[in-house]
Amino acid sequence: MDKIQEIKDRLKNLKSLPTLPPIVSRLNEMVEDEDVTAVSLGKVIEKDQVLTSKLLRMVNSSFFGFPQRISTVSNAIVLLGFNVIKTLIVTSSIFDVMQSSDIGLWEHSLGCAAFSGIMAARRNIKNPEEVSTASLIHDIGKVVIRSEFPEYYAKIVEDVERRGVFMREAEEEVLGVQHGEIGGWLADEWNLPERLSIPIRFHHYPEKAGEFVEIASIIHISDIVIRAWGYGFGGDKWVPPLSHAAWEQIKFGKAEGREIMEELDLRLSELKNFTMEF
Amino acid sequence: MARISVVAPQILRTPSERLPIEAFGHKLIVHGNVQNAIESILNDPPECLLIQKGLQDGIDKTVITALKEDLKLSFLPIILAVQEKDIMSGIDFSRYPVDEIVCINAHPEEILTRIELSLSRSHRVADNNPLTGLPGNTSILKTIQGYIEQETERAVCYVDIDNFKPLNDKYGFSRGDEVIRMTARVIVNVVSEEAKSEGFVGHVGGDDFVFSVPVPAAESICKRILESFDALITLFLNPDDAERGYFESVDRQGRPQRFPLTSLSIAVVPCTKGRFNHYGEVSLVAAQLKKKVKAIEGSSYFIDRREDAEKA
Amino acid sequence: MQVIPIRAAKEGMELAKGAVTEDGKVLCGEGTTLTMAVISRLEKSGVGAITVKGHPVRLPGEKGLKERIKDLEERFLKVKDDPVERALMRLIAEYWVESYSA
Repeated sequence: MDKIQEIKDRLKNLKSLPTLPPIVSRLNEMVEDEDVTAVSLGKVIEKDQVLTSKLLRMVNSSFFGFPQRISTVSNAIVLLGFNVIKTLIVTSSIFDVMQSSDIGLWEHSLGCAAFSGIMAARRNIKNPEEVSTASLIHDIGKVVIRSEFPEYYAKIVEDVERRGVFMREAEEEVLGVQHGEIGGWLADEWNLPERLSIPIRFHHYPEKAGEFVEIASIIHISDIVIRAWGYGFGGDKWVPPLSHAAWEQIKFGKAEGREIMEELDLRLSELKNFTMEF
Repeated sequence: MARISVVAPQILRTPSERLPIEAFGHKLIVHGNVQNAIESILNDPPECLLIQKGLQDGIDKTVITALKEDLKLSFLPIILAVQEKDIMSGIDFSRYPVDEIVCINAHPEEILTRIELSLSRSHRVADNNPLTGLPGNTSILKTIQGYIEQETERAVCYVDIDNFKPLNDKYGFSRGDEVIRMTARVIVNVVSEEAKSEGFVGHVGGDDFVFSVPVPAAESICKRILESFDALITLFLNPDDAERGYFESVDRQGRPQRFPLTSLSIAVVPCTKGRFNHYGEVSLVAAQLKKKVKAIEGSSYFIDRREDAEKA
Repeated sequence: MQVIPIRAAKEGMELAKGAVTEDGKVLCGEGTTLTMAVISRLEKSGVGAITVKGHPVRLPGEKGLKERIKDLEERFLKVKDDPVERALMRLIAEYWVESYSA
């Protein structure tokens, strides 16, 4: 069968994407606590790309009446309520075997979300939380490849290590499609809003993101900056090529760049309170 | 002809056991993996759920409670598959708020009959509002009268959606209905999280709701409800209306008219011991308060403090 | 100076910058010497990270400045011909050098 068709079919019947065991066990501990609130659960959920995507899927499929679909964790939490969120946590599946690259990708996603949040606020984007969310889940396609197509994934990882190519190039060669596209398909399949699915799809080609070019550009630059910083692991060790169209959207000079670095350093250190446990 | 999710490893295991039910036109969705089952139930709810008691890690209890407390799914009939000894020793139905039970070694035909009964019963629940699934006027009245008679102190809060009509007129009633369902969800979620079993939410009808919570918690609950409502209502507005900050329409004479955007107001009547003798008195005070709170622009709440003056 | 997660804070460290909550409220000014009481107050107020004087902490997996810069340059190998990418690399390198020397 055609690989692209195979992937699309799999996405249709995708039952469950695995989460990192430490996050799930932390959340499980939290729900045992009588006084825990939905809001504090949300604060942990929004640190995980898989749980965040699942939460958004749930709220968007059970609540079709919204003219605009739900794109942020905080709105999803209010609508779903404590009990449903608790169920999501208690029933979430985890990776059978956790690899260091899984944690690396998780940190990469968190770092990108942090940088994107900073830039969204600085560029006065209406809903900065939405940009962070899109950035958090921009590599969800990689999780799909990793958990649903382990053989292809192994081949991709081998290509990256042996030939020193970008993971994206290896994906194109092995699957005929790259993770951005796969993530976009999944987001569509799960009824996530276009403000998330389009930037996910085009985070390597932000100029193609149409009306969401600004969000896609921020994610694109966040990918570059976070990899440059060496925070987490995005699948290969290289800083990816820059889209100059994206840079034009959100560019910053030396003075602002310095401030951004300072803010980013602080945000990334804050995340370590969370990631250092694992 | 219903879609029935089966999360019961010890029941309907073979095609021949499933046949009588499927032959009746029902579609059985049999889940091998509990985790996947729950996700798929929440994402794409069936019309009936058959779940086995005593699943690993108490997942059965978690799922049943979550479904029953979810507004949209509270109507979903749940049949609990139990061991024979459970039937003999009794089941704590406050911890298992299910609609029907069936023994795991029952004949497929019996299971079919139980399913049919549950489906038919779910179609004739009386008082609940069909749009939100919340208890209606009879239950509201009983609940509040109960507080008065048992001298339970509660803040009874009357919720109104302000400028709901312009939204309905402009976007159509189906979007209006969704605003009502969103409001119901917000109220239920905040009340059940903060007041737990001491809270109550009812739907009077249209854009009117009533909820009650312990008096000391009332203020923070009102604040959270209003905040959440304001954050979500913008998702229902067309971007141009949201940006402009008001609705524009034309009256019968063709003159342009402006209406403020949709917001929420809550009138809070603290029912302290001995203050009221009858539900009618509570709603009378509420009606006066409502006028005050509606006059405030945007989302707001107003707590009746007169009782303090009376005491002093 | 060094930015550290609040969990890595120890008594006796000195703030190189004011400690600020997520919503921008300043809790302790520059120059404050940390005590157990100060640290736990910062933690309770939701301060996630602070900037301290010197470079007192070596976090797990953290490398020295020289090595960090070398790794940084290596990561840019495939895109080093792009002037904007080079500028970004310099921005990060300069920020690191500055924080190590401050």
